[in-house]
Amino acid sequence: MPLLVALSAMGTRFEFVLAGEPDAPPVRALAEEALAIVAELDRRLSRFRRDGLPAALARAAADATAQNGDSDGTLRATREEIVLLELCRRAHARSGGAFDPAHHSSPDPAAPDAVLAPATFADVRIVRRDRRVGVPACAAPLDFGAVAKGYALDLAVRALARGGVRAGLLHGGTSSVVALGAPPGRAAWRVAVRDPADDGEPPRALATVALRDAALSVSAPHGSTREAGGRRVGHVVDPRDGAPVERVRVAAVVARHGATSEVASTALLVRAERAIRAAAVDDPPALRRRLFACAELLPPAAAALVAFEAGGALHSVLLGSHAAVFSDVAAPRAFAVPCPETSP
Amino acid sequence: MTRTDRRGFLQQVAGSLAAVALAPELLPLPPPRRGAPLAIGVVGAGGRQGRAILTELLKFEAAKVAAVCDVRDERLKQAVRRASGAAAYADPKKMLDEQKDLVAVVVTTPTHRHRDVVVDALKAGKHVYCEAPMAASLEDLKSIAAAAREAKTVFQAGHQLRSNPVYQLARSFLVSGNIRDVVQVRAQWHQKTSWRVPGDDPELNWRLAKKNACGLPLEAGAHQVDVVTWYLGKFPTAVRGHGALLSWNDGRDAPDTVEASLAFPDGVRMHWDATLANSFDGQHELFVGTMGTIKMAETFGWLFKEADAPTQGWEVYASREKFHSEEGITLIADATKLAKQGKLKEGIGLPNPPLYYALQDFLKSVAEGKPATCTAADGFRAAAIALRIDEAIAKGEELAIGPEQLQGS
Repeated sequence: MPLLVALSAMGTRFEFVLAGEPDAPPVRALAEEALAIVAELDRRLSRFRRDGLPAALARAAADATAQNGDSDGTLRATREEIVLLELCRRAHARSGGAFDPAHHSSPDPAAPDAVLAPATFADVRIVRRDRRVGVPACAAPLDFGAVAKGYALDLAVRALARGGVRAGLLHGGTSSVVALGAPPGRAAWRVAVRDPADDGEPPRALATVALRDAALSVSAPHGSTREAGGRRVGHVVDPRDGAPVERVRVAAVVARHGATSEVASTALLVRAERAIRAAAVDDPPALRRRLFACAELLPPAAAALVAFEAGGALHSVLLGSHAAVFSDVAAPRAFAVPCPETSP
Repeated sequence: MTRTDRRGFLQQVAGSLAAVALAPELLPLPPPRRGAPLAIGVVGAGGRQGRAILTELLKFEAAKVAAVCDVRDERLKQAVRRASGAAAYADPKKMLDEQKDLVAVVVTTPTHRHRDVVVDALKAGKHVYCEAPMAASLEDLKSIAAAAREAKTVFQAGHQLRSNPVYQLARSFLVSGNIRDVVQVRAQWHQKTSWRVPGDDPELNWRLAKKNACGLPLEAGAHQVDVVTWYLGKFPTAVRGHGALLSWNDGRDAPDTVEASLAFPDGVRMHWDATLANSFDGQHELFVGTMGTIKMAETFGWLFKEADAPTQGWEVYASREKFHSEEGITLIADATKLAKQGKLKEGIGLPNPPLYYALQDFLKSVAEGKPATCTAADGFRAAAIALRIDEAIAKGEELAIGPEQLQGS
C-alpha cells in the first residue's frame, strides 16, 4: 500500500501518493515536509492574502508613490520567489503576452470584459542580483494562479527526491500533476486527461499520458463561468484583448517540470483559441498550420494535446517532439493526426 | 452632523479604538539613515524555523544576515543559498569569534540546545533573539535569565504573539473590560502531523523524546500559557494533566495527545489541550467573560458579545463573521488607516506573518535601545510553567506552581 497524504491549499486539494513503506517514519516525514513547502508557497504567493507577495508588492508600489521618490517601490524577495518571477517573465515574453500573471480580468458581472490592469508582466521589475522585485503602482496584484501550483509541486518533488523517495505521484487539484519516477514494476505513471464537458461517471478520457519524472498540466476554460455578450463563457480570457476562450476545451502539456508545463498550457490555451478563431474550419491544412505554430510555446522535450470544438464537433491535435507520451487520444475528426517533429 | 458625516466619524472612531495600542507596531522599521544595516547571525538557520526567520529578516532593509550557522552540512548549504552573501559556520563559537561585526544573533536551535549559544552570544556583547520556548530545563532557564540580566544588550524571548498586532489589540479590549470578568480560558493546539523531521539522526527528532522535555507542553503550550498570563496579568498556582501516545506509535515516547488544567488564584481555570492526531479548529485561545468572549487564532481575532453587553457606536460598521449560531466581530489591527480609506474589510488578517512583528520589535529595541517586548523573565515563566505541565502529565498528579517556577528568573 502506498502512502497518501493531502493538504488543502491554493484553493484546491493537493494529494501525494508515495510508493514505498507507508508506515516507515522517514517517508511520512518527507511527505509532511513536502506538504509544508506547498503550504508555505500558498501563503507567500496567494493574491488573496494580506501577507502574501502580491499584496506586499502592491503596498510597496503604493507607498513609493505616496513617499514621492523616497522609495523605489521594490522589495527584497526570496530565492524561490525570484526564480518563479523570472520564469514568468520568460514565459510572458515567449508567449507574446498570452501568459500574463499581471493580467486581471474583472470579476464584476457589470463589467464582464473589462481588463483592469493597465500593466503587463513586462512592467514587473526583477533585479536578480539584489533579489529585488517591484510592480507599477497602478497594477492589480499579481495572480500566479496555476503556475504557483506547478512550482509548489516542483519544490515538493525536489525535497522528496533529495530525501531518497524514488516513486510518487503528486497533484494539485488534479490539473497539475508531477510524477517522480514510476510505480514499482511499471514503466510510468498513467494519467487520464478527462473531458471537462463530459459529465458521465467516469467522465470520458480525451487521452492517456505516460509520466515518468515529468509533469502534466491541464488548462481549460470550464469551472467558473461568467456572462459576456449575453452568453455564459469560461473564466479564461486572452490577456491581450480580453476575449474569452470558448472553442478550446483543453490544452494539456507534458514537460519536465510542473511550473514550465503550467505556463505552457495556459499560453497554449489562449494561443490555440486565437488560431482557431482566425482559421476557417473547412480549411484543415490552414488550421493545422496555425495550431502547429503554437508548438513554439512548448519548452524543450515537451508535448501537448489541444482539444477544441469546431464545426459542431470535437477535434484534437498533438504538438511537440514527445507527443508519443499521449495515447488513446479521443480524436473523432480530421485533426487527430500527430504533428511532425516540431522544434520548440 | 449629516448622516454621511456621522458614518465617516463613527468609522474613524472605530478605527481609533481598534488601533489604540497598535499604531507603532504597524509602522515598518525605517531604513538606516547612515551606515550599514545591522549585521545579524542566525544559529540553527537550516531548520524549518530557521528558514522562516531568514525569509522574514529579508524584509527589513535595516538588517542584513551576515552569517548563518548550522551543524548539518546540507542544511547549512541551504541556509547560505537563502541568505545570499552570508558567511557559513558549523560552530556558533567560531562564528562569534570571527564575525566581530555581528550586532545581533538569532538563536533557533533545538530548544534544549539554546543555553550555550545564548549565553556565549550575550557574553560576546551581542543582542540576542532566542526562539521560544527559551529552554527545556529549569537549570538552563536560570542560566539564560542570569546571562540576560547581566548583559548590557537586548535579549528578547521569541513568544511572538506578544508582538502580534491582533493579539495586542485583543488584549487592549480585554484589559479595558470589554468582556468584563474572565471566568474561564480555553486554549488548544491541534495539528495532524507526525511532527517528524526527515533524516536518520535521532537528534533531528528531539521533540519526540521524553528525555528532552520538548514535547507538546513546552513546544506548543509555552506560547499559549504566555498569552494567557500576559492577558490575565497573573500566573497559575497549580496544574494537573494527562497525556497519552494514541496515534503515532512509531518508536517515540513523548505523548502525542495531552491536556492540562491550570488553576489561577481567583478560581479561574485554563483548560489546554494539544494533539498531533487531528487538526480540527487548529490553534486558538478563548477568553470567556461575563459580557463576551474573545477568540484568538494566530493572525485573526474575534469578539463575541453576550446579548446583554452594551453596544458601542463603532460596532455598527465593524466587520463580522458567522460561526454556526454565533457572530463574531472581527478584530482589525490597523483599523484607523483602513477606515479612513473605506477599506476596513481588507484589514482582516495581517500584512505579515506573526514572526515578522516579533523580529521587527527586536530590531527596533536594538536600534533604539528600547526594552524588549518579551523579556527573559517572561520567557522564563512561560517555559517554567510549561515544564510543570509536562511534569504533571508524567506524574499523573496535581502539582503546585510556586516561586521556584515563577521567580527563578
